[in-house]
Amino acid sequence: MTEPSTEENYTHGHHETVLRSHIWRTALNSAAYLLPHLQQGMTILDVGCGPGTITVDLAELVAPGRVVGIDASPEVIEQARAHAAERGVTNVEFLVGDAYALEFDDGAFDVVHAHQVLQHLARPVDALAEWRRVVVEGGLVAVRECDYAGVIAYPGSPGLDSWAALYQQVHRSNGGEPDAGRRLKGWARAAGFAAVDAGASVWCFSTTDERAWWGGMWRDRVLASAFAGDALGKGLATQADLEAISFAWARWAEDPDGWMVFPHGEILARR
Amino acid sequence: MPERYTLGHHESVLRSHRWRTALNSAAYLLPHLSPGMDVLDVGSGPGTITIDIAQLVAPGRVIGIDASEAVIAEASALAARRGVENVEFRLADAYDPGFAPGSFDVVHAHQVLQHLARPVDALASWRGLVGGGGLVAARDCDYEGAIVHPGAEGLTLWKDVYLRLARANGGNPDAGRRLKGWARSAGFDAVDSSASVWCFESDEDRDWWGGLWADRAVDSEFASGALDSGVADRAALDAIRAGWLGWVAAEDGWMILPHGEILARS
Repeated sequence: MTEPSTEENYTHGHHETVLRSHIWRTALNSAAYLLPHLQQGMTILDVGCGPGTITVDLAELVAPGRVVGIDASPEVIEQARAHAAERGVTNVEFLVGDAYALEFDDGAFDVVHAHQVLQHLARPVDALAEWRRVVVEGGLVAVRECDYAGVIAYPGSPGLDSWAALYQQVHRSNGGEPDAGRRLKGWARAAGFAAVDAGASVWCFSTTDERAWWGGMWRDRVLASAFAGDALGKGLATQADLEAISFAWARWAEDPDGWMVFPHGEILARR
Repeated sequence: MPERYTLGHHESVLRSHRWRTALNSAAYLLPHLSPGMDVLDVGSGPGTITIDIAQLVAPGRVIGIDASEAVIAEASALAARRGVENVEFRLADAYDPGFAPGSFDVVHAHQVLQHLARPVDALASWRGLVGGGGLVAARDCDYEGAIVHPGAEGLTLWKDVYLRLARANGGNPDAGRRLKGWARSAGFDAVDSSASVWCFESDEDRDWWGGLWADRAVDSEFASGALDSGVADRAALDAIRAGWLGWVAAEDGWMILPHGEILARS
């Protein structure tokens, strides 16, 4: 593995319980705000592309434009390449890379896109300034990030309250900002963008299938993933705490009144 | 206890109600509307959404009802000004609108259930008005989930005072998250529930939304209700006003007001 250039760690890691949610992501459920601005022939850099589901969607939308996905993890880059091959999309390539130090020339892309990336970086303004460097004059940097403090989980329970509090601690202990959504516009302005359009959208989980999927994922993730290791290893929670949280997610998933909103902030920042 | 409308109908309240359109407030319902449908809009206020809906379902008939005579008059005048004729506005009670069972294809209510003390009773009544196969569509705020950035003391106070006052008035300021459960309790078999947000961030939006709350904090039934019920004193209201004015001036300012939505069928 390449050494990360800074102090932060990726809170979730790449356990199967994490990838289960990453491979669900599509351009439509995660980058709808960007789609009206894309055109065939555009070149796109997707920073923190993970298993590449959004990246490959973007590649289909801008073909024959060239799309490059980068990620710090060689393992997920392999997965992303396999995903592109499986879908038969050839105008996309995936490379291991550093979000702070891109190996591309100034103005190399029409669009730089990043989904749920800045929240995990210790220096989001530096990253945005670097992304600004590689877009053309008039090009767009498009970013969407969660805002964990704004998550609404209904019906509430002590276990879900513990999850929300522990999540904040673990995420911050890794050098990230879990409430990135609300800060995106300010960060982009600080990075030198003069024209920043900001917006918001949500992921909502309500149907029986959605609750089983999302709740089941967190039920498993809090016991087996980098999140569990961090929570235990850093003394932020005990095994009993994690089991109580896991149980609360399972209960929530089973409750037919269950409803959850994950708010996201979005920016379209023009160079 | 009969509930009170937390905001009243001061100009600073109507300023935001008149901004509402079917697109920014009922997008989740639009794919389910078609020409010829009859729609009841409960709590229609100044009628901007109601009239939009009337244009979408024409020649279907649309009736807007509200508990305030003054806003009914305003809504009727707006319909006349916009030349929309398949809509009318009446004074009526949300719990008992006074129509025969099955009178409508759709009953719609925007930000109404959050102000009612018995939301499940209201939904059960609306369920009767659409009969089998009809649709009840509701969208309500979830103030508990509102995010205002950058935070400030006056803005924290705003949320706290708003939540306490709305509850003191018999309402549920976090209605958005409860809609699906309420609809299930009211006897609907199939309830689709989604969410959407109002986001205010541009200079114009902040000036408008923040200015509105800065004014509501010192004038309007929000202010008088907070003072009368002891939820806030004059100093707290001044701090809330200052908090909103500060947010308007903050170039990094960004806020969301999340909403829950339901499409309920029986």
